[in-house]
Amino acid sequence: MSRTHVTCEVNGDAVDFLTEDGESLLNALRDELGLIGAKEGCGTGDCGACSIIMNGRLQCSCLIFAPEADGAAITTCEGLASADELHPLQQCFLEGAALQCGICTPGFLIAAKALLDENPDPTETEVRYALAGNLCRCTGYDKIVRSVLEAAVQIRTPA
Amino acid sequence: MAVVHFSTDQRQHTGVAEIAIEAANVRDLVRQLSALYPSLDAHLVETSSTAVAIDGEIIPDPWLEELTDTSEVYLVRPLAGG
Amino acid sequence: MSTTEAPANTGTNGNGSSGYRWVGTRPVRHDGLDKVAGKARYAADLNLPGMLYGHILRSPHPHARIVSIDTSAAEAMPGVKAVVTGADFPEAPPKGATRNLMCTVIARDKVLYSGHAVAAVAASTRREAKAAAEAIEVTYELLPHVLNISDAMADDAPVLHDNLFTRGVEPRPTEPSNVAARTVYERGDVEQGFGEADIVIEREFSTQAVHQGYIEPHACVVDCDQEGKAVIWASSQGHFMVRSSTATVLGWDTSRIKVIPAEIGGGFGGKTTIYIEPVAALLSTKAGRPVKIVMSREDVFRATGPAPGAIIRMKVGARNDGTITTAKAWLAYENGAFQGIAAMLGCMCVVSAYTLDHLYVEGFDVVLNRPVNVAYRAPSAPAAAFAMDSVVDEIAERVGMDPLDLRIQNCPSQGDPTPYGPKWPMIGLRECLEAIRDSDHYQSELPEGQGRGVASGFWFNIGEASSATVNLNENGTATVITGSPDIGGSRASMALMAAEELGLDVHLIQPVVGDTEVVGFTDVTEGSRATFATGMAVVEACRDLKEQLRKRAAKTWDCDVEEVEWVDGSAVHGPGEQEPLTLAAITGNAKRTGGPLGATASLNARGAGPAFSVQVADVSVDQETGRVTVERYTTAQDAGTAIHPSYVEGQMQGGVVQGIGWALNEEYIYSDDGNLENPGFLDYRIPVASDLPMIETVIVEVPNPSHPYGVRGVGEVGIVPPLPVMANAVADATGVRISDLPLSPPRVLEALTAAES
Repeated sequence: MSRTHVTCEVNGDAVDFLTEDGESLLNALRDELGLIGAKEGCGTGDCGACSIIMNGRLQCSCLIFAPEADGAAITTCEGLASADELHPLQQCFLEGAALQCGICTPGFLIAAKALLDENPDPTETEVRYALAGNLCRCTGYDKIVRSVLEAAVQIRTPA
Repeated sequence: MAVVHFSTDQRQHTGVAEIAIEAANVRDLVRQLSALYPSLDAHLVETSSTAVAIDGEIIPDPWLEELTDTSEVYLVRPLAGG
Repeated sequence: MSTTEAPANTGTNGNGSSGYRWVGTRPVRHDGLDKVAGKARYAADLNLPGMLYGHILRSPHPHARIVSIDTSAAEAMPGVKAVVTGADFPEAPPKGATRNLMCTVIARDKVLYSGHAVAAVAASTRREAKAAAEAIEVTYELLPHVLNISDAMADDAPVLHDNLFTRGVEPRPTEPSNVAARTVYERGDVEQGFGEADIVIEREFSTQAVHQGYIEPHACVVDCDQEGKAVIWASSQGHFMVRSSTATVLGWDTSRIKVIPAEIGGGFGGKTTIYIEPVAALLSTKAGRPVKIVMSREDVFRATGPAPGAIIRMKVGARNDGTITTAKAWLAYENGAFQGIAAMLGCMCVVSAYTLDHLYVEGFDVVLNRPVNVAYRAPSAPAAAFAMDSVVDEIAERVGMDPLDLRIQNCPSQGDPTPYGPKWPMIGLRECLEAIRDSDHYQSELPEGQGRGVASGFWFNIGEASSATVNLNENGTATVITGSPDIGGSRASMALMAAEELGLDVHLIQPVVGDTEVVGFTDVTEGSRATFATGMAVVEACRDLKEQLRKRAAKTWDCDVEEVEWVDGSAVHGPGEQEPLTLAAITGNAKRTGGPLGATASLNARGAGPAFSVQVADVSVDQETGRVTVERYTTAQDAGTAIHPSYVEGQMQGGVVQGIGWALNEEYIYSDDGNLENPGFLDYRIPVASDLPMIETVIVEVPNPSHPYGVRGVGEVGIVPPLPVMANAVADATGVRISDLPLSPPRVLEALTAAES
């Protein structure tokens, strides 16, 4: 079976992998690169658990063919923290108890980062609409929304 | 003596709404009930297919639970939760 | 110490004011970092060397006899290493729970719902497995099917099981039917009660089947070796259940199976059973390689869950002073393809939030050609509460009473009889009703154009078996190992209780979920039991350790153990002749005083206190589209004692939002030919962030006397009130009472239009 060689940048690192045509970028990230943070909740772009930022845009990686990532710059949940410090969103999610089972958490963090990159001072309503493509069945979203709003404050006004 | 209360369904087997039984624990009680009312399926308690409520608490797998003179006992189906 | 303050505007209680040092605080959860960093391993995240992918072929028909299965073409396809069908599994007994489990995992002679597993393939890649599964040729003889309760209960209905005779009817019927069981609870004389009532209201209600909707599809990896041993990595609500159920389905001894719990991506009751593990085990045995099966979302909808739909007829009588005296209820619940206890549970719950002199409750459990019911958070209670609390609201309106005052007037207390017979233990319903009545939300003026609804809900809660092992490490830290999968923050709760007992900082305690070979038997995380029952085992093990620590201190000091007290994490010499010994000082010296310190407790927890919740919502209804918008929502729930208030609030908020989804949008929609038409999150619409306001919480704490810290399970009851809350709020906003859920835009619009004309 013929496989395509894909070269791209993931979380700042140059990487390459071989993939079958028709394979999703989500499966390539998970199986070829071992980046398991993005999850498959539906495979149809409805739940957002596989969210990544690709070339500056929030995307469902289950809806992207792996070869489409050639030459792209990708951020996954694993790329949010530095070696010694969590991203403010991650820290606020922890302190705000914004996760229960945690399966949707990587997707929410990425979607929230995409929002705050564009709009550093969102209203509650703007947060709710920006996260409307991400499903969480555990929390009722209350603590997620509060944590994103708190992270926005922290990013705007670093200690 | 502990008092066993029967549900509508169970009364079809017992003919009475309640009965007072001298029993030290649930195992003893169930064996007496089975002897009195063979069709009641009281023995199902011994396989946890039937639970027992004692003084308001539903106990899914009773056996050695002690009974007192004031115990109120019901045979109920075991529960399941989410 | 790393505790965080309560976020503003959530919770009025659970603030650690109870005199405890750790219980009631809000530390960052121990497993949190892995989960925000994307490192936490769920079952689908595991890959093993040489691993194959399994794919399950499912029936496209709702009811059919399997005439033959030809796997020869599939076996010859590239990459295929093993194929199994029902014939490879042990024969199922003719009836009972074991048959239901075995025949749900894989169909035998008949398929009973569209999506029923028929055969499976293991191959080198996902695509090869799928292609080969689709190449299996199954010849079906189609049978007539039934998809709803009324059709299934009809005299001439096609019968699913020719050996199913209604239980609870005397004499027992001699003809099989789809009515698996009839349940009756009665007290007093309902006819007399209605005769004496000033007001009698009679209504019929219906609710639709809904899915638990956990975001993680079922997944497992199974590795069987040449000696017949299997290691299973699975996402479930109980790995001991996975072990026993897999053994049952395969006819294996449980000792052949080790189950390692993966992180679980949501369950809500839906992962209290198994679907795929025995299939993967048999494929792995045949192939001699590890096999991974991950269900697709479509398969999750078609073949797992759901919670049942129901039809409920209520007749309720009350006096003009607002006293509810009499209720007659007829309930029928879908069971799915095999018999369950949904209607029985509905019967037990339907009038539980009320004291009644006269009641007659009759329920029917009905099988039909849909996937088998699985528990979903307080199973059966939401539909029952929808019926009763809708009628109660009408009574309040008729007698001109505030709906909360009416509920307070009729609420049971300790010692009152439950509808199913036994007397209530200590319960917190009245406190929840009063908490909502006194809440800022209920005291606020309702904004123009909106409607306000209230309702209450009940759920039993369950105890069951739990085990915990607590090991003290040489540096004075502790490891707490339990057998309860952490579905929503229970590791943190276990650590908090251990911290309180031992007097250790909560972050010096490492809570671990142990596999089936490192910790004692523990029942499924269900019935809101983990923090209650497993927490009880943790406390018991810690108390054992405190005794051991006192003895070690006594040995160190060469004094009588009676002279040693355990205070705030240190051994203190009563007579005061010795400097206190910290826990770390004792464990550091443990080899000299008798060896390492550890304790294990296993118990069958008694006294899970019943749970109640009372909720209020304000809604607006778009007159042009019928869309219901939740403008404000407040929930009060009796937690007994909140161990980690943030996760208590989380359970309350999550339950509420699932209930809102059930009330407003979610429903299984079947085509006439028996196929699910909305097996995806696009068409099966669960609530998203933009649908909702903040969910305000009031944690009521009426300590449960059966638990060392007063814990009552909090996981389930929150889903019960939202169904009637939404219906009551929509009725208040529009003047139109809708008795069929969901209150989706087309249905609301239809009702508004009908009311106008």
